Amino acid sequence: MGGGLRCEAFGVSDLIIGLTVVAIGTSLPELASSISALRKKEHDLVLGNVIGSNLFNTLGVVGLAGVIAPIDAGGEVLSRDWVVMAVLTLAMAVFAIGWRGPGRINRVEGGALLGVYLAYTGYLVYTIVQTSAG
Amino acid sequence: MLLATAAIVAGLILLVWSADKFVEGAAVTARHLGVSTLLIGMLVIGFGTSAPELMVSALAAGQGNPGLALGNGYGSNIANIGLILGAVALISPLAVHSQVIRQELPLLCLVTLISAWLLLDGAVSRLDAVLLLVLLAAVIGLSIWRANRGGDDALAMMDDKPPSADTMSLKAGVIWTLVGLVLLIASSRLLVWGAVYVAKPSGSAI
Repeated sequence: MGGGLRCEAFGVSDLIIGLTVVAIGTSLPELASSISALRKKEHDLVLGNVIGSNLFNTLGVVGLAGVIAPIDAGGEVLSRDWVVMAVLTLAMAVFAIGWRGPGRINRVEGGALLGVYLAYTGYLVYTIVQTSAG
Repeated sequence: MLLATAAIVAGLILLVWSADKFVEGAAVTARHLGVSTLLIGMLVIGFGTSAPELMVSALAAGQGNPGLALGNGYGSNIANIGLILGAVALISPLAVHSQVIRQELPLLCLVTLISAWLLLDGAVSRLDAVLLLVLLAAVIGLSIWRANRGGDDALAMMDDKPPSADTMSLKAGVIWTLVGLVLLIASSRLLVWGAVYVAKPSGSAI
Protein backbone atom coordinates (compact mmCIF):
# COMPACT_ATOMS: atom_id res chain seq x y z
CA MET A 1 0.00 0.00 0.00
CA GLY A 2 0.95 3.64 0.52
CA GLY A 3 4.28 3.00 2.19
CA GLY A 4 5.97 1.79 -0.94
CA LEU A 5 4.75 4.27 -3.50
CA ARG A 6 7.26 6.95 -4.35
CA CYS A 7 5.26 10.16 -4.18
CA GLU A 8 7.52 12.24 -6.37
CA ALA A 9 7.41 9.77 -9.24
CA PHE A 10 3.63 9.90 -9.66
CA GLY A 11 1.08 12.64 -10.16
CA VAL A 12 -1.76 12.91 -7.69
CA SER A 13 -4.23 11.02 -9.86
CA ASP A 14 -1.73 8.20 -10.36
CA LEU A 15 -1.31 7.96 -6.62
CA ILE A 16 -5.00 7.80 -5.94
CA ILE A 17 -5.39 5.12 -8.61
CA GLY A 18 -2.45 3.34 -7.00
CA LEU A 19 -3.84 3.55 -3.50
CA THR A 20 -7.37 2.53 -4.38
CA VAL A 21 -7.25 0.19 -7.38
CA VAL A 22 -3.94 -1.47 -6.61
CA ALA A 23 -4.57 -1.73 -2.86
CA ILE A 24 -7.95 -3.31 -3.43
CA GLY A 25 -6.39 -5.38 -6.20
CA THR A 26 -3.82 -6.95 -3.88
CA SER A 27 -6.65 -7.76 -1.45
CA LEU A 28 -8.83 -9.33 -4.15
CA PRO A 29 -7.66 -12.93 -3.60
CA GLU A 30 -8.50 -12.67 0.11
CA LEU A 31 -11.79 -10.90 -0.58
CA ALA A 32 -12.96 -13.34 -3.26
CA SER A 33 -12.00 -16.43 -1.26
CA SER A 34 -13.62 -15.04 1.91
CA ILE A 35 -16.92 -14.30 0.19
CA SER A 36 -16.79 -17.72 -1.44
CA ALA A 37 -16.19 -19.34 1.97
CA LEU A 38 -19.10 -17.35 3.40
CA ARG A 39 -21.41 -18.60 0.64
CA LYS A 40 -20.39 -22.18 1.44
CA LYS A 41 -21.13 -21.51 5.14
CA GLU A 42 -17.49 -22.20 6.00
CA HIS A 43 -17.28 -19.42 8.56
CA ASP A 44 -14.13 -20.79 10.18
CA LEU A 45 -12.36 -20.48 6.82
CA VAL A 46 -13.06 -16.73 6.70
CA LEU A 47 -11.56 -16.00 10.11
CA GLY A 48 -8.80 -18.55 9.61
CA ASN A 49 -7.91 -16.84 6.34
CA VAL A 50 -7.62 -13.43 8.01
CA ILE A 51 -5.67 -14.71 11.04
CA GLY A 52 -3.30 -16.80 8.92
CA SER A 53 -2.78 -14.06 6.37
CA ASN A 54 -1.96 -11.50 9.06
CA LEU A 55 0.45 -13.80 10.89
CA PHE A 56 2.14 -14.47 7.56
CA ASN A 57 2.35 -10.78 6.63
CA THR A 58 3.71 -9.60 9.99
CA LEU A 59 6.21 -12.43 10.43
CA GLY A 60 6.94 -13.87 6.98
CA VAL A 61 6.65 -10.92 4.57
CA VAL A 62 8.49 -8.45 6.83
CA GLY A 63 10.90 -11.13 8.08
CA LEU A 64 11.97 -12.32 4.63
CA ALA A 65 12.42 -8.77 3.30
CA GLY A 66 14.39 -7.83 6.43
CA VAL A 67 16.73 -10.79 6.04
CA ILE A 68 17.40 -9.80 2.41
CA ALA A 69 18.05 -6.15 3.39
CA PRO A 70 17.63 -4.46 6.80
CA ILE A 71 14.56 -2.20 6.84
CA ASP A 72 14.69 1.41 7.86
CA ALA A 73 11.32 2.01 9.50
CA GLY A 74 10.16 5.63 9.52
CA GLY A 75 8.22 7.01 12.48
CA GLU A 76 4.93 6.89 10.57
CA VAL A 77 5.02 3.13 10.27
CA LEU A 78 4.86 2.78 14.04
CA SER A 79 2.73 5.82 14.89
CA ARG A 80 0.20 5.47 12.07
CA ASP A 81 0.14 2.09 10.31
CA TRP A 82 1.05 -0.11 13.28
CA VAL A 83 -1.44 1.69 15.56
CA VAL A 84 -4.33 1.20 13.09
CA MET A 85 -3.30 -2.44 12.62
CA ALA A 86 -3.16 -3.01 16.39
CA VAL A 87 -6.54 -1.35 17.01
CA LEU A 88 -8.17 -3.49 14.30
CA THR A 89 -6.47 -6.67 15.54
CA LEU A 90 -7.60 -6.06 19.11
CA ALA A 91 -11.14 -5.17 17.98
CA MET A 92 -11.33 -8.37 15.91
CA ALA A 93 -10.14 -10.43 18.90
CA VAL A 94 -12.65 -8.83 21.28
CA PHE A 95 -15.52 -9.26 18.80
CA ALA A 96 -14.68 -12.84 17.80
CA ILE A 97 -13.78 -14.43 21.10
CA GLY A 98 -17.28 -14.04 22.52
CA TRP A 99 -17.05 -13.50 26.23
CA ARG A 100 -20.41 -15.09 26.99
CA GLY A 101 -21.17 -18.14 24.87
CA PRO A 102 -19.99 -18.66 21.28
CA GLY A 103 -18.42 -15.73 19.53
CA ARG A 104 -20.06 -13.92 16.69
CA ILE A 105 -19.02 -10.91 14.63
CA ASN A 106 -22.29 -9.11 13.97
CA ARG A 107 -23.20 -6.49 11.35
CA VAL A 108 -22.59 -3.51 13.63
CA GLU A 109 -19.10 -4.79 14.49
CA GLY A 110 -18.39 -5.51 10.81
CA GLY A 111 -19.52 -1.99 9.97
CA ALA A 112 -17.21 -0.57 12.63
CA LEU A 113 -14.21 -2.48 11.20
CA LEU A 114 -15.06 -1.28 7.69
CA GLY A 115 -15.44 2.30 9.01
CA VAL A 116 -11.93 2.24 10.47
CA TYR A 117 -10.56 0.94 7.16
CA LEU A 118 -12.32 3.65 5.12
CA ALA A 119 -11.17 6.38 7.54
CA TYR A 120 -7.56 5.13 7.38
CA THR A 121 -7.58 4.94 3.57
CA GLY A 122 -9.24 8.35 3.33
CA TYR A 123 -6.61 9.82 5.64
CA LEU A 124 -3.80 8.28 3.55
CA VAL A 125 -5.22 9.72 0.33
CA TYR A 126 -5.72 13.10 2.04
CA THR A 127 -2.15 13.35 3.36
CA ILE A 128 -0.68 12.28 0.02
CA VAL A 129 -2.75 14.83 -1.89
CA GLN A 130 -1.66 17.48 0.64
CA THR A 131 2.01 16.51 0.34
CA SER A 132 1.88 16.44 -3.46
CA ALA A 133 0.09 19.79 -3.67
CA GLY A 134 2.45 21.47 -1.21
CA MET B 1 -9.32 0.01 -24.41
CA LEU B 2 -11.24 -2.97 -25.77
CA LEU B 3 -8.50 -5.26 -24.55
CA ALA B 4 -8.56 -3.63 -21.10
CA THR B 5 -12.34 -4.00 -20.86
CA ALA B 6 -12.04 -7.62 -21.91
CA ALA B 7 -9.35 -8.07 -19.22
CA ILE B 8 -11.71 -6.68 -16.55
CA VAL B 9 -14.62 -8.91 -17.59
CA ALA B 10 -12.47 -12.03 -17.97
CA GLY B 11 -10.58 -11.22 -14.76
CA LEU B 12 -13.79 -10.85 -12.78
CA ILE B 13 -15.30 -14.10 -14.05
CA LEU B 14 -12.06 -15.99 -13.50
CA LEU B 15 -11.65 -14.44 -10.03
CA VAL B 16 -15.07 -15.56 -8.79
CA TRP B 17 -14.75 -19.01 -10.35
CA SER B 18 -11.21 -19.69 -9.12
CA ALA B 19 -11.99 -18.42 -5.58
CA ASP B 20 -14.84 -20.91 -5.49
CA LYS B 21 -12.65 -23.80 -6.64
CA PHE B 22 -9.84 -22.76 -4.28
CA VAL B 23 -12.09 -22.67 -1.21
CA GLU B 24 -13.92 -25.87 -2.16
CA GLY B 25 -10.62 -27.65 -2.77
CA ALA B 26 -9.22 -26.45 0.56
CA ALA B 27 -12.35 -27.41 2.52
CA VAL B 28 -12.47 -30.86 0.90
CA THR B 29 -8.78 -31.40 1.60
CA ALA B 30 -9.32 -30.47 5.27
CA ARG B 31 -12.15 -32.97 5.65
CA HIS B 32 -10.29 -35.79 3.90
CA LEU B 33 -7.27 -35.20 6.15
CA GLY B 34 -9.51 -34.92 9.20
CA VAL B 35 -8.11 -31.57 10.28
CA SER B 36 -10.20 -28.55 11.22
CA THR B 37 -11.16 -26.14 8.46
CA LEU B 38 -9.61 -23.39 10.57
CA LEU B 39 -6.14 -24.89 10.20
CA ILE B 40 -6.55 -25.18 6.42
CA GLY B 41 -8.00 -21.67 6.40
CA MET B 42 -4.95 -20.36 8.22
CA LEU B 43 -2.18 -22.30 6.58
CA VAL B 44 -3.39 -22.83 3.02
CA ILE B 45 -5.83 -20.00 2.31
CA GLY B 46 -4.27 -17.42 4.65
CA PHE B 47 -0.67 -18.03 3.63
CA GLY B 48 -1.54 -18.81 0.00
CA THR B 49 -3.40 -15.58 -0.63
CA SER B 50 -0.49 -13.65 0.93
CA ALA B 51 1.99 -15.16 -1.52
CA PRO B 52 1.80 -12.10 -3.84
CA GLU B 53 2.72 -9.77 -0.95
CA LEU B 54 5.66 -12.02 -0.09
CA MET B 55 6.95 -12.09 -3.67
CA VAL B 56 6.56 -8.35 -4.24
CA SER B 57 8.22 -7.51 -0.91
CA ALA B 58 11.12 -9.94 -1.35
CA LEU B 59 11.79 -8.67 -4.89
CA ALA B 60 11.69 -5.05 -3.71
CA ALA B 61 14.09 -5.86 -0.86
CA GLY B 62 16.45 -7.48 -3.36
CA GLN B 63 16.35 -4.27 -5.39
CA GLY B 64 17.30 -2.21 -2.32
CA ASN B 65 13.80 -1.10 -1.32
CA PRO B 66 12.98 -3.30 1.69
CA GLY B 67 10.71 -0.62 3.22
CA LEU B 68 7.99 -1.72 0.81
CA ALA B 69 7.54 -4.86 2.90
CA LEU B 70 6.29 -2.87 5.89
CA GLY B 71 3.78 -0.86 3.84
CA ASN B 72 2.73 -4.00 2.00
CA GLY B 73 2.49 -6.26 5.02
CA TYR B 74 0.84 -3.85 7.43
CA GLY B 75 -1.38 -2.35 4.73
CA SER B 76 -2.53 -5.84 3.82
CA ASN B 77 -3.24 -6.65 7.50
CA ILE B 78 -5.34 -3.50 7.83
CA ALA B 79 -7.26 -4.38 4.64
CA ASN B 80 -7.77 -7.99 5.78
CA ILE B 81 -9.49 -6.99 9.01
CA GLY B 82 -11.09 -3.68 8.03
CA LEU B 83 -12.11 -4.30 4.44
CA ILE B 84 -12.49 -8.06 4.21
CA LEU B 85 -13.66 -9.15 7.65
CA GLY B 86 -15.68 -5.93 7.96
CA ALA B 87 -17.41 -6.35 4.59
CA VAL B 88 -18.00 -10.08 5.09
CA ALA B 89 -19.55 -9.55 8.55
CA LEU B 90 -21.68 -6.78 7.11
CA ILE B 91 -22.99 -9.15 4.40
CA SER B 92 -23.69 -11.89 6.93
CA PRO B 93 -22.90 -12.03 10.67
CA LEU B 94 -19.95 -14.36 11.19
CA ALA B 95 -20.33 -17.23 13.64
CA VAL B 96 -17.15 -18.22 15.46
CA HIS B 97 -17.42 -21.93 16.24
CA SER B 98 -13.87 -22.77 16.97
CA GLN B 99 -12.13 -23.00 20.32
CA VAL B 100 -8.87 -22.72 18.40
CA ILE B 101 -9.76 -19.16 17.43
CA ARG B 102 -9.81 -18.31 21.12
CA GLN B 103 -6.15 -19.34 21.17
CA GLU B 104 -5.07 -18.00 17.77
CA LEU B 105 -6.44 -14.49 18.31
CA PRO B 106 -4.40 -13.72 21.45
CA LEU B 107 -1.40 -15.19 19.60
CA LEU B 108 -1.94 -12.74 16.73
CA CYS B 109 -2.21 -9.88 19.25
CA LEU B 110 1.06 -11.00 20.84
CA VAL B 111 2.79 -11.18 17.45
CA THR B 112 1.52 -7.67 16.67
CA LEU B 113 3.00 -6.40 19.96
CA ILE B 114 6.34 -8.07 19.26
CA SER B 115 6.47 -6.39 15.84
CA ALA B 116 6.04 -2.97 17.52
CA TRP B 117 8.78 -3.79 20.00
CA LEU B 118 11.13 -4.58 17.10
CA LEU B 119 10.19 -1.33 15.34
CA LEU B 120 10.82 0.86 18.39
CA ASP B 121 14.48 1.43 17.48
CA GLY B 122 13.38 2.66 14.03
CA ALA B 123 14.65 -0.31 12.05
CA VAL B 124 14.15 -3.98 11.37
CA SER B 125 17.69 -5.33 11.54
CA ARG B 126 18.72 -8.71 10.12
CA LEU B 127 18.59 -10.14 13.64
CA ASP B 128 15.04 -8.79 14.11
CA ALA B 129 14.06 -10.28 10.75
CA VAL B 130 15.48 -13.69 11.65
CA LEU B 131 13.53 -13.53 14.92
CA LEU B 132 10.32 -12.86 12.94
CA LEU B 133 10.95 -15.87 10.70
CA VAL B 134 11.71 -18.11 13.70
CA LEU B 135 8.44 -16.95 15.26
CA LEU B 136 6.59 -17.80 12.03
CA ALA B 137 8.03 -21.31 12.07
CA ALA B 138 7.00 -21.66 15.73
CA VAL B 139 3.46 -20.45 15.00
CA ILE B 140 3.11 -22.93 12.11
CA GLY B 141 4.50 -25.75 14.24
CA LEU B 142 2.16 -24.91 17.11
CA SER B 143 -0.89 -24.84 14.82
CA ILE B 144 -0.08 -28.21 13.27
CA TRP B 145 0.68 -29.73 16.67
CA ARG B 146 -2.66 -28.51 18.01
CA ALA B 147 -4.51 -29.86 14.99
CA ASN B 148 -2.81 -33.24 15.36
CA ARG B 149 -3.84 -33.61 18.96
CA GLY B 150 -7.26 -34.04 17.39
CA GLY B 151 -10.67 -34.11 18.99
CA ASP B 152 -9.68 -31.04 20.93
CA ASP B 153 -11.61 -28.76 18.67
CA ALA B 154 -14.78 -30.81 18.69
CA LEU B 155 -16.92 -27.71 18.43
CA ALA B 156 -15.31 -26.69 15.16
CA MET B 157 -15.58 -30.16 13.68
CA MET B 158 -19.13 -30.71 14.83
CA ASP B 159 -20.82 -28.88 12.01
CA ASP B 160 -18.38 -30.15 9.41
CA LYS B 161 -19.82 -32.43 6.81
CA PRO B 162 -18.29 -35.92 6.62
CA PRO B 163 -15.91 -36.51 3.69
CA SER B 164 -18.54 -38.70 2.02
CA ALA B 165 -20.66 -35.58 1.50
CA ASP B 166 -17.99 -34.24 -0.84
CA THR B 167 -17.94 -35.11 -4.48
CA MET B 168 -14.19 -34.42 -4.71
CA SER B 169 -11.49 -36.93 -3.84
CA LEU B 170 -8.47 -35.88 -1.78
CA LYS B 171 -6.35 -35.72 -4.93
CA ALA B 172 -8.89 -33.52 -6.70
CA GLY B 173 -9.12 -31.36 -3.56
CA VAL B 174 -5.36 -30.75 -3.47
CA ILE B 175 -5.18 -30.10 -7.23
CA TRP B 176 -8.09 -27.63 -7.15
CA THR B 177 -6.52 -25.86 -4.15
CA LEU B 178 -3.30 -25.28 -6.09
CA VAL B 179 -4.88 -24.50 -9.48
CA GLY B 180 -7.46 -22.29 -7.79
CA LEU B 181 -4.76 -20.29 -5.98
CA VAL B 182 -2.69 -19.70 -9.11
CA LEU B 183 -5.75 -18.63 -11.13
CA LEU B 184 -6.97 -16.49 -8.24
CA ILE B 185 -3.72 -14.50 -8.15
CA ALA B 186 -3.46 -14.32 -11.95
CA SER B 187 -7.04 -13.09 -12.36
CA SER B 188 -6.52 -10.42 -9.67
CA ARG B 189 -3.51 -9.13 -11.61
CA LEU B 190 -5.49 -9.18 -14.85
CA LEU B 191 -8.31 -7.23 -13.23
CA VAL B 192 -5.95 -4.63 -11.76
CA TRP B 193 -4.17 -4.19 -15.08
CA GLY B 194 -7.47 -3.65 -16.87
CA ALA B 195 -8.80 -1.26 -14.22
CA VAL B 196 -5.62 0.85 -14.16
CA TYR B 197 -5.59 0.98 -17.96
CA VAL B 198 -9.22 2.10 -18.17
CA ALA B 199 -8.66 4.70 -15.44
CA LYS B 200 -5.55 6.04 -17.15
CA PRO B 201 -4.99 4.76 -20.68
CA SER B 202 -1.75 6.69 -21.28
CA GLY B 203 0.27 5.35 -18.38
CA SER B 204 1.21 1.87 -17.37
CA ALA B 205 3.17 3.19 -14.40
CA ILE B 206 1.64 0.83 -11.87
